[in-house]
Amino acid sequence: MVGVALPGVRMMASSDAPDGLPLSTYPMFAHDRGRVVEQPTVVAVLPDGDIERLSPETIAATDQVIQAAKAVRRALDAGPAATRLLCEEVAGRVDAPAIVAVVVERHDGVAWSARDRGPLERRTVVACEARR
Amino acid sequence: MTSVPTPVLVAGTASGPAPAPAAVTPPRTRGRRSPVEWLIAPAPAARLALLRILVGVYATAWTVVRLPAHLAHTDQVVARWQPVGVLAPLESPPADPAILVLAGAAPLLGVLFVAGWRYRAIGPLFAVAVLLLATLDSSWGQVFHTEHLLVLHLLILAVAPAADVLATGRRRATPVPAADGRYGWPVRLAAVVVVLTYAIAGIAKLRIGGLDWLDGDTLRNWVAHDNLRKAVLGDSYSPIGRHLIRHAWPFPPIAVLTVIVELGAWVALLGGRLRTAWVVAAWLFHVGVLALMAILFPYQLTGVAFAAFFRLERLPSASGARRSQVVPAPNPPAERPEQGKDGRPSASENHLTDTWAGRRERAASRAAGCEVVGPEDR
Repeated sequence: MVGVALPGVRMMASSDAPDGLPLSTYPMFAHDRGRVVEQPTVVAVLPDGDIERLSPETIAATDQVIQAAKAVRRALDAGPAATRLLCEEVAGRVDAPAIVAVVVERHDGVAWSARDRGPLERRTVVACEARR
Repeated sequence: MTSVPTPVLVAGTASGPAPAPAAVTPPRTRGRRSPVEWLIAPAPAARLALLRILVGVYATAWTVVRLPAHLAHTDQVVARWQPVGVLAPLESPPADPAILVLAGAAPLLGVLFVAGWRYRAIGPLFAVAVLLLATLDSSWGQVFHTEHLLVLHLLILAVAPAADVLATGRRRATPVPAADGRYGWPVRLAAVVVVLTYAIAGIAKLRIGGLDWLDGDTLRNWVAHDNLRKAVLGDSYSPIGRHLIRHAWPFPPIAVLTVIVELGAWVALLGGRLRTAWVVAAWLFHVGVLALMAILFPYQLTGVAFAAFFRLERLPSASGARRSQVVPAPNPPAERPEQGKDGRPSASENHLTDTWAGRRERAASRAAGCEVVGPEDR
């Protein structure tokens, strides 16, 4: 049993072992993300210029925040056409006069916690008009 | 004077035929048992059955609570399909009717699993259903780590004789089976799986992050990133976590304690106070994760994940259930377990009656260090 368990544990804990279910390497929280992170998301720009955060349901029709984040990142990785498609998809779920924007924000996590909730930088990749 | 080896008293010997002499394990001290001996040491059928009921109730509740999310998989964008595990070979999501049938059938299978009805068929069916649903949940770009233990425990229970007692559909005249290794290994394997889960997580942190992980910066950045991501993506985040990451000093001790809990999980297999202390520490660890990152591990926080470490048949409510299961043994008098002088059953008789005499003899045997016990037995 030990002969089987030890190599298994070693394999599962290796840095390149795949994460899956029901077997996992439990790699979450092992890598250092650094203090400053880039976070893609989709926001609504209201007529007065205010930025409104959109929920995972609105962004990716899911209640899971990481799945929504992955959906935005995958669209960005897939190129402008996929990003525009995502923007229009989200715009279809926004029931307000607003511009929907797929953005990439840079945040200092510690600074965010201390005082300022705004990003260090926000880059708009694609924008489209919300349908009402 | 020649010393006579003390026969090993098996914790929780159930009613039915008296154990054959050949089945009596030679006296051994706890430290000399091999891992395999430890794993297959006898346990009462009630312990395994109660583990089935506890895990089954949790899993059934999970299939009910998650039903809307499971049904919503039919509305997912196909392009986001990133299958993992048993669904990895599929290039596209399962057909909508298959998802609907699976999501709808799982709670019903769960009820039958808890009831122990036609368990040989229902056990594997329910375990596979939960495996498929949990894998489906994790096949859209995010692997959830909250259902791994549940699925592994269900898979173990599915192939174990977990409905030999405390099950519907059994004939009342069926005698309660004796304690046996086949009831012991599934419970202990479930405990080992818990230990391995935490150990792997701890090893991964040190292997990937190195000893630097212990200085707390990685953890602090993760708590910050996780809460920030939730805020940026319009979700609720932990105000406690957001407050705490303003300060650097709490994170080194939290990081060290985290790794101690994860790498020290094996002490739970030693039983006794060490086991209980570890279970409490692991539970508090998940309370901390919830407080700092608003990440809920319900299987652990309800305590069901740690049930395999304990003698479930000693639960007060289980005692009543056990007694109701006890039926007169059909054995002829010659084969009946021996009785005490006053008519009380001896310790080698049905433990399910849990008499004063049985407890006294087991305690004496335990003190002599000759009882076959698992982590949950101490």
